[in-house]
Amino acid sequence: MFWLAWKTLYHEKGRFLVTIVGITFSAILVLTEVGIYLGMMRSATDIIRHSDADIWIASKNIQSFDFANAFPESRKNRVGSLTDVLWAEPLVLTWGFLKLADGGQEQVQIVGFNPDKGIGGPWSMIAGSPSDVKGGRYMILDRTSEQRLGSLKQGSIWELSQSRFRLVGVSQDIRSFTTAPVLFMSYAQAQDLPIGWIKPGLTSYILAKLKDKTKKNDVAASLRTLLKDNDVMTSEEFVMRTVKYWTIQTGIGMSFFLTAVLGLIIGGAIVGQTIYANTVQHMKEYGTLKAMGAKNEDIYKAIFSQALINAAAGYALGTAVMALMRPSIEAAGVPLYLSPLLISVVFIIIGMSCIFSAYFSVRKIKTLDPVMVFRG
Amino acid sequence: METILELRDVSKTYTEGGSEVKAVDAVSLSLLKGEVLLLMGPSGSGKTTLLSMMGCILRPSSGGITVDGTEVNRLEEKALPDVRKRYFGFVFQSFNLFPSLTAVENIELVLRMKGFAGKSPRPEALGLLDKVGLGDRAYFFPGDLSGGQKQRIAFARALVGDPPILLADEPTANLDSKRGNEVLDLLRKRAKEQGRAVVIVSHDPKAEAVADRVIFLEDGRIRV
Repeated sequence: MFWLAWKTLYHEKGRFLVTIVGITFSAILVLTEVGIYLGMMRSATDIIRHSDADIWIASKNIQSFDFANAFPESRKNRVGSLTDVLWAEPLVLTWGFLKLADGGQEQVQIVGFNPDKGIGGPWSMIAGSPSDVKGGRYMILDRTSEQRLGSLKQGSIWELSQSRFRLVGVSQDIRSFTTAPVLFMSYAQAQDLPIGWIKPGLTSYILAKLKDKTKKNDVAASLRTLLKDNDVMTSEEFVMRTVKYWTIQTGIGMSFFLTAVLGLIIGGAIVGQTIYANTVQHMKEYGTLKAMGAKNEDIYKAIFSQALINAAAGYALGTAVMALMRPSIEAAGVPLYLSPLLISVVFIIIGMSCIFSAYFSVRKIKTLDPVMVFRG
Repeated sequence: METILELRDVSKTYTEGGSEVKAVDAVSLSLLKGEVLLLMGPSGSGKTTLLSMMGCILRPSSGGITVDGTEVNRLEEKALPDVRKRYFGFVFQSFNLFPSLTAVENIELVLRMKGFAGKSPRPEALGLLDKVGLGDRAYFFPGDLSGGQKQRIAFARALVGDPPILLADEPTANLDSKRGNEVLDLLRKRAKEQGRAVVIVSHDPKAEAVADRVIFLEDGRIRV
């Protein structure tokens, strides 16, 4: 019956083409929305996921990685004193303004890490090394921020919140959720910046690595008892809290979700309409098949095959267009996450939406009385 | 000759506007192998309803139908498609060919639907088209063929699986005289040369010439 589905669709080339274009549009819409959403969520949680820490200690009621409050760094000693803790490291997260060559300024997300250990620092470098920020006003910027900051030349001097910093390294593919450029410097320098609440003796986070990773929930529970003025989370919990904040509390996730659903509805409606029109047009022939002994299921297979052929052809074209568009989207500074798994999952969802949209055609066949073939 | 299909006191009642209408009223008949049976009668006499019941497409309100020894009344609804697939071939007044399939593909479709077991149904389908003299039109779409050619393709399609009973509903109604005669000749040969039973519903007086037996229906009853 797949054979009949293909022949029927192919015979109506114009209608088939319109349907494929519709599904292509739907696929591009869904992949773009889901890809950008996931890209942004990955950006929002990149530092957490690459830090190698099992537990994050933050200020009380922190909502996301980007909005940390300060607390005494001396609490690091209490964390490190636990026998299950391998190491504990502080990390500063703050914001500042970088002066640009044209006199303008750009807000940047500043991450202050211990350059001797590299924890919380950049994990992918194209120039310099994370340890190069040690011992002075040195910084690392990410290549993706070139569009906003201009050329990133190693050795160039920049003014950050009224202090001069030398660019000693360039990282790659490290973005913040807010799209503000990510700037790495040493933990000590970050504490010294004359910008608001952060100062020597205070930190934004304490990261802890455990001797035995499987004990992280137990250790986190112990730390919660010990540090009542802090939030203690496993890395996974902190990732989820950050994602939840951006997705639900800010409503950003909902807007992506609604647009993706709209794409699915458009695709489903186009396929449903085409298949329904095809089914109505061939009622007499389907009735003839039923009269000759075809079961409803045989004809359902043909209808569902039509839906899947439409979905597969349109989706393949949509994915190809996305692959071509991807470099331009990323060059524009938009994080786009597309993986084989995501492409497969979205295909399954679009395929199911198309199959669901064929329901009305199937219902039409179910109630089709083969006696109708004798009625003129 | 051996009976292949038997109807015993078969009736079909419809409800229309709150009142009951008997489309077929206590009809009994036997169809023999190798026989051409012609059903005639005015419009609304119940011919189509009777043909639908003979083809196991419609269940009678009362009475019994036996196909090759099988009591159809006792079968569940979901078993009827298999009976139709095994025992019946159909030819329709308006051909009912898939416009998106070529002549040979229309036959292939039924071969596939009937569970053709070979490597490819194409040679079998081409062979059936040759039988009706349309081998050279195998790759034409129905829209590019004449009414007579379409009806011959429909006839070839009805031969798929070599069913023992062929039911033809007004097979000449949309054809000119010459093409109508050709189709009637095919139906007659089916019965006489291959020993299959053929039932024709028709208003066409020419059909009487190929029929072994003519039954007139009037108000759902066989007119004696």
